[in-house]
Amino acid sequence: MSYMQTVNKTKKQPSRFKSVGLFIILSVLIIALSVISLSLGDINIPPLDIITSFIGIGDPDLTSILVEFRLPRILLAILTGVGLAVSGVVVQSIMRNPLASPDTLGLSSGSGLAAVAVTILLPLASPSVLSAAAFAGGSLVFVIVYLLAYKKGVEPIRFALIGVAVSAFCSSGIHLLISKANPNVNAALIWLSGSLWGRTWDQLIGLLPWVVILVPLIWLLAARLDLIHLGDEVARGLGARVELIRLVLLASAVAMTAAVVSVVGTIGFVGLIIPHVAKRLVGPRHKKLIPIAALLGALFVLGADLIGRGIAPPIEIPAGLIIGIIGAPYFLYLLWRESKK
Amino acid sequence: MNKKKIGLLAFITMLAIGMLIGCSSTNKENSADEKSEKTRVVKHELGETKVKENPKRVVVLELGFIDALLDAGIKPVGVADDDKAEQLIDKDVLKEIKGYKSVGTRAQPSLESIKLLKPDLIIADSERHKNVYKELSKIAPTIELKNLNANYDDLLNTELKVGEAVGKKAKVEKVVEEHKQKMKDLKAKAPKNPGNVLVIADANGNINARTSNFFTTGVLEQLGFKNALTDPTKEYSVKMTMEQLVKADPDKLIVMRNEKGHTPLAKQPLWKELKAVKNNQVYEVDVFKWSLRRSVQGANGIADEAEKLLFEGK
Amino acid sequence: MKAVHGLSKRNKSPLRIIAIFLAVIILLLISMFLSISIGSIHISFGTIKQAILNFDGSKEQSIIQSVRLPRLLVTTFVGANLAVAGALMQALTRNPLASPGIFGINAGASAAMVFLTVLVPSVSMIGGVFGAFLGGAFAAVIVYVMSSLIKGGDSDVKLALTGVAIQGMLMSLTQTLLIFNESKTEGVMFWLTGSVIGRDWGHVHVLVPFSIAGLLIAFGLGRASSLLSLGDDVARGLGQRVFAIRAFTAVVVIVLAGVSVAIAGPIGFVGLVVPHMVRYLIGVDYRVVLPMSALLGASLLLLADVLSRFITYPYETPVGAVTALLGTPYFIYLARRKKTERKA
Repeated sequence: MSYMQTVNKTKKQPSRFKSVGLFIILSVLIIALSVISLSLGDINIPPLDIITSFIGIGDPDLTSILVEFRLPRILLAILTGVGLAVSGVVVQSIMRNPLASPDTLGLSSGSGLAAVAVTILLPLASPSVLSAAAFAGGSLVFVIVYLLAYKKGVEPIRFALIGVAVSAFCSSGIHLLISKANPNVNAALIWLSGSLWGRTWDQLIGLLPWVVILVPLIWLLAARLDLIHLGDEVARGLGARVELIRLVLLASAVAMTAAVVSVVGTIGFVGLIIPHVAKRLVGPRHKKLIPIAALLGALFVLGADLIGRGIAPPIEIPAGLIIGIIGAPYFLYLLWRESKK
Repeated sequence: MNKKKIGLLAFITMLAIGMLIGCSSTNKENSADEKSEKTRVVKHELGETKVKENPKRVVVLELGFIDALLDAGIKPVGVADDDKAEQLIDKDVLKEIKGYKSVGTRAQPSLESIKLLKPDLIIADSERHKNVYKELSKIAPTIELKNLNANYDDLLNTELKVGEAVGKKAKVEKVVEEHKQKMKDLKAKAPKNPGNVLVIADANGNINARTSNFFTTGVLEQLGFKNALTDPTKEYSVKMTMEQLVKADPDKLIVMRNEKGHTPLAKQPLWKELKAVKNNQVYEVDVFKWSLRRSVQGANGIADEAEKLLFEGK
Repeated sequence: MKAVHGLSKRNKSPLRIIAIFLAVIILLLISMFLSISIGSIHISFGTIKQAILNFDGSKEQSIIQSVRLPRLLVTTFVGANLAVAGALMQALTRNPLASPGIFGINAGASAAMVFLTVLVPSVSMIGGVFGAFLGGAFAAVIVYVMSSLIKGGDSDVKLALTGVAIQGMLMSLTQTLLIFNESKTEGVMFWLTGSVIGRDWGHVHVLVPFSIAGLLIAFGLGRASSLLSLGDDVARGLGQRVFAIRAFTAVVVIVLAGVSVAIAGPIGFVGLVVPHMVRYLIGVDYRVVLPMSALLGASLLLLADVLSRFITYPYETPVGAVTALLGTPYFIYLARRKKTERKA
């Protein structure tokens, strides 16, 4: 759908949600969910104890559980959701394809392949090597896809085609490595599903700069992005340096996704679903779309991790699996409900 | 727009405050941890750890460690049992360790649960838990040993290390010596030229053959049975086709199963081409005893069964 | 009429088409021969001839009869089925990226297979195959129905979006089962990559009837598919009952792809790449594209299977990995060549 059609559509129906109000509601929801997340787990910590712990006068064991395990995990879930959702918005806009997401461009499978290769072929490698490999793998595959798709410029369709092919190629590689009998296949499977287990302050601090720097950058370029939606020809006429902006945005989205994936593994769907949901709530203008998508993503991942942790402690279900099992059908339900209007 | 910027700012501030609290509390935690007890340095797969002289509360994160711990005379207070204790742990062992608390799956044990048990020592698997070594060490002194991908020699080493770590070195060494003696005795009793053996796991009619890197084949090799699978590989199990099985043509074939009834492989026409089938040297065994119990006790069990099944003269 | 003119303009000359058919048939025969003779024990042409003419139960002939021949038949038909299903999908959705996988067939079959392996470890081979088939068919039906329930918007996009969502859900379920049942899933991992190892006559007896029926019906849909690929309006304008044909085609796709995945696991790329190759060689008349896809799909999968016996000699690689290895570079080459306006 071209930009003008989109604008006309949103003019016909007045925005159901004022985006500012929505922003506040979502922020409150995130805070509420964080508090619930802090209190639920193997041992339920009532909110009063949470407060005393944070002030510094609480039971040292409870405090350490909150501060060492739950808090960083919650913050990491938020960052993950923000990073993946915003990347998804960018990729879908630039590719002008509602099916595009960093996953379909080979990013997830590239990181996955590198990570699984390290897990299985280099079992003695330290966790930071794993993260570095995942980051490098994802970025490298993306660059390869970009180069392969480049032929006097990059057309979205060709880009998507090659992205899907390379993605499937990496997936096969992953399956192949996994099928080779390896005692620790489980670890690879869990990493491929995406999980926040065992992630603490180190991982959080590693991811924080990426999200905190790139999200505002992307948001600032959002205004420019709206122009790009008019289509190449018109934008060029308006003097916007289309290709350059596209590249910077895409590179930022890729870098952020790669950073997220290198920390939590390949969580799928967030980059695909959240942009759709956000778009239907506040429309396609990126000034509003990106912050709302960010908050929705955070809520999504936070909720999934909470469910995975809280359903049957001490058993933990990886957040990525919850997202896949619950998120996907919910997404369809949303599509259906929206279409009835 | 203003409200949004304020919202974003508040969000980032919350993050920052969270981090500050986190860092400061962690520091407090560390400084409060000075123990005045005597400690011993134990070397393990991921380095060295100072362990208390006589740990009483031990959490184990792989099943093979349970047997080793019991050999040292200590019961674990926490076990990562996938919430499937009946399926994965031997009945008698389960009775002995009753009263322990489950800490979740072996792949993702709950760090909180472990912490709440206030352990003196955590024994983790060097393959599964290498990524959380740091986090585990913050909870309690942690040693990481080979169990998931252990071969026969690793198994013995792990047993000794566990004994050393809990201060019962002598007791465990005795268990290992008894095992080694048992193996020697059995080897002497074994037929002189037993030929070669192939151990396969038959899953849904798939043939997954164990290589020499697997601990069961290691046990059998100690008894004098060579592995029919000689192609070099780093893996512990390889998929074989019926053709390749015919080509390998082992003298004795051990089929590990966890289902009732006979192996579906027997229905294949090429099955009767096998030497082992013609000579009635095919043995169907329980996969739990032969593959899943990775400990010295497990090895003893395999040796006993091997004696029963494989030692009869031809 | 411009559309029909366009159709014939893109066709190559009949002579060329016949030549290519012959070439592919020869390729198929060579692949079949290689498939029978190569393996951990090499069997010469002479022995094969003997086996056909004068079966005498020797070990080598036994190998041919009980292992290689069924494997050959399974590979041939699976390759043909997947290629034809892919071609039909691409005509049906007018999307060059379409393959049976989009319907969720692969994901559904995988989920069902793992489910059965974990819950009913002693399930028989036939039981497993039927379970996988039902899983794949069920998933496809859900995708089709749900995408139709969503009103408004581009039907291709809806289908793809629904397919992706359902696939994701099924894959997550599959992974959950695998992760939480470590000790029981050794056997199924190889299957999940797509493999024709260990396929025996039992499998053949299930595969062949469905394949032959499905393929013949598919070939009959040739003309209709050509017109569908030009657009619903064009097809309707030319007198085709679009809805009925779309539904019928979908059923054929589900049967062909479903039975193939049930028997050989999810093998990718064949359904995606082979139709492209065929259209490149002989144009877009589906009356010839479909049969040619069957032949080429069978040949290529046979060759991939032969290769899979060498990559990590003496151990075998799952054929699904080989098709990915070979298919990707070719697909990338295709994607770079094509002009963006071209429709399937």
